[in-house]
Amino acid sequence: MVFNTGAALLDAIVLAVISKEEEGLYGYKITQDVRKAIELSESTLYPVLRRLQKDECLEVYDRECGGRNRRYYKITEKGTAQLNLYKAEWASYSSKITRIFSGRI
Amino acid sequence: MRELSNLLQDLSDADREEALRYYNDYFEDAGPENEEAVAEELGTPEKVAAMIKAGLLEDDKTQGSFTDTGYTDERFSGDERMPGPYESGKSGERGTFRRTEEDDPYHYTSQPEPHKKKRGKGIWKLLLIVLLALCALPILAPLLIVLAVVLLVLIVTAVVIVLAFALSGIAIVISGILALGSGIAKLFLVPATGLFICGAALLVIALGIIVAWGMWWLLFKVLPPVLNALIRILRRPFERKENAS
Repeated sequence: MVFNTGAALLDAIVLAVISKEEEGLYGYKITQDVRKAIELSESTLYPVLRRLQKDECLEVYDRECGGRNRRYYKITEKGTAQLNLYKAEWASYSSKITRIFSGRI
Repeated sequence: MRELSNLLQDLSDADREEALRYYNDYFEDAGPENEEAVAEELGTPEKVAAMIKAGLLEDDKTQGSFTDTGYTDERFSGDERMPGPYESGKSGERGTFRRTEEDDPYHYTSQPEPHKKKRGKGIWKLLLIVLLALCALPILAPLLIVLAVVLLVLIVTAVVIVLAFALSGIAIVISGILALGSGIAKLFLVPATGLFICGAALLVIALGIIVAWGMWWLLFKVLPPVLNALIRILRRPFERKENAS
């Protein structure tokens, strides 16, 4: 990818990926899904998830799966609000950029 | 994983447990067939540990928030550059997630130019130092060798001088004892002279003992700490280089 992903944008992508599943997602799946959109080294995500969890945008719970407990990340109400802000901001930001790129200003 | 656990020793138990839990899950979910690929992509345990710690450090700082003017984050405003936790080990690669002030798409108000200049200067500075070091090598290497030889000679000379004094001290004691013997023999023939010789001999023995003992003390009590200190001073520049790399 040519463009770098800023911290806020990465937060937004992670929140969006997790919000798609009612029951939340586990670390490996989140990484795989985020990678569909942007290049991401596997070790990048843990600090991001932890930060979002500390900010109460995400909550964790354990769920039994194949004989072991898997840790799931689920979006909170605060996280949903934050994601909506991100989405609105992204819509205005990307449309402005698109306008400039297409020569309309 | 074991290495990672060791590297995270200085974190709190809860923090360490959580990070290990995450990566353990990650490996399990990736499946045994992907284990190697994942391990390779994660990089060395050192790198993963550095990332975890950098993430924890960030927690202490105020987090960003949305306002009417857009996304603001105290960590990104101001002129100093972010410590850039995601740069560690991965910088220079294209498309990796790098979090520096210049890269933040939500912050166009700051001026990235001076940072870029600074970074360029840094590279030139490094190049210059390397070049200088290369040019200085033909002069510096012999100089260093000479310095080492001189140091060695000085140490050896000091040891030899001290040893010589110690031996002469012992010789003085021996000659004192011999003189004492002849003094005692004289005591029966010419008592006054014999007494004088005995006194002088005892004095000489005392002097010899003082010299020998003093040198002994210098050699075994003073020299080792001095040598140790010298070695430590000489080793210091190399240790720093190791830490830096």
